Amino acid sequence: MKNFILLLILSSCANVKQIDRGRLSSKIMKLDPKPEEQVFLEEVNSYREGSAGGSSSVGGGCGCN
Amino acid sequence: MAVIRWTLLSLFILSISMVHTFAEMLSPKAWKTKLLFNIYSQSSNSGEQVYDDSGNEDVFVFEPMLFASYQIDETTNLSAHITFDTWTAESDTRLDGNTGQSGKGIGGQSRISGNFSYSKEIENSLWTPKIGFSSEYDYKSFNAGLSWTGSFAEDNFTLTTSAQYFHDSTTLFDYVTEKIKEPEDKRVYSLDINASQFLTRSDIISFGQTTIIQNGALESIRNTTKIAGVRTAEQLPGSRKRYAYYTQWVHGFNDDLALSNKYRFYHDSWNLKSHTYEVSLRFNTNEEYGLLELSYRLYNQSSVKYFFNSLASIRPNFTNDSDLEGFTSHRIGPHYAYDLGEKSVLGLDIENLNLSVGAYYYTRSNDLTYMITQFSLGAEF
Repeated sequence: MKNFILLLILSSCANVKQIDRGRLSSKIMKLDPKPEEQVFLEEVNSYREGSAGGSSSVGGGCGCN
Repeated sequence: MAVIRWTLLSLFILSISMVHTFAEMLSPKAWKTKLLFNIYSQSSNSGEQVYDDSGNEDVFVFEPMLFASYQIDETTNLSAHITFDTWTAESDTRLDGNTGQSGKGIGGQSRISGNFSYSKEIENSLWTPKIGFSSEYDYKSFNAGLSWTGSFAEDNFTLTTSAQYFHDSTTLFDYVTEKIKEPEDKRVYSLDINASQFLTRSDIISFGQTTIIQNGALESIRNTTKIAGVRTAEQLPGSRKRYAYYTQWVHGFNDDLALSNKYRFYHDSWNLKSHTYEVSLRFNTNEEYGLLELSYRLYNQSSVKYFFNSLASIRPNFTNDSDLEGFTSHRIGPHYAYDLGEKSVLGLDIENLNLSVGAYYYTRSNDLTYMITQFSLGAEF
């Protein structure tokens, strides 16, 4: 229940005002700073490992050599 | 029961409350393009699924990718991603060469794929329908998807849901008659839910869950298992349900240094479980024109319940695919990107020209290694 409340709090607060987002808008702070390069890295992961999900590769659309 | 209730409640909150894609919208009438070259070189002599007992899993892939995005107006964007691969794979070559399917080993193969998407921003929502295709000698895919991103709490919180459907077909090999079979259907359905939140001026967190359901022919053309000494094509169930739960935390130490931590837990109906942890240290260089990222990825998986190195007698399902065996892997590498700023190229005024380079070394505990090298040239105009 504590985790649920924590998640709810995290999900609904406006923590950072627009004016304070200078650092957050920097490339180093992006969740994925190289999305195009990441496409290939994830494609390879889906070929060479038995897992999928949490990325653009979801186990379809390739022959997986 | 309490765990199930907690999980459902958490997913519900995630689903109503999620990714910062709005920032990717360009100025009206602007183009953004990127040409990315990927080079993949794999080495292994321990692939016991390889038809001729050599274990040779060497692969070399050259894969150029073209990304293009055009901003029609302030709220509408069109994007395309075209890929062309050419590769040589020893396991294919040996399969083909040893069975005489084409009279000689396959020296080189190719694949072409494309994805096209249309994004429309309506109030605090971004809708993105997309379609795609992929074609290679043993696999064809047509796919479609729809994603929705909502922005809440003054853009502090974003929620994205994405659904995809793959209408694929795969070609298998009959090791008895030594002929390629007719293409068989494979269907993939995926649903991803992701939420991200600005926690402080220096912290972003994200949580997500992906469900993937695969039905149909899930085997690969090149995987065999020895049964009573005879090479037999792998037999896998016609369905696989896959679940991934993932999270990421990015913390900025100062304006020029940040640390990203990612973790994913995965399990599926074939009893494979995995843990993935990736950490990357990011530096702004050259007054923020440059970005240097050093990353390390640790991955561990258990084998699928159908994995056998060899069998004395046939079973309903079996595979000897080294990718589905239990192993631990490590990947490490740097990536560097640099913005050259405004340039004039062949009379065209480029608002920003950028370059990137990356290299990654990967090693797996069941004796497989690969190296990836990436180069790109991008332009916004």
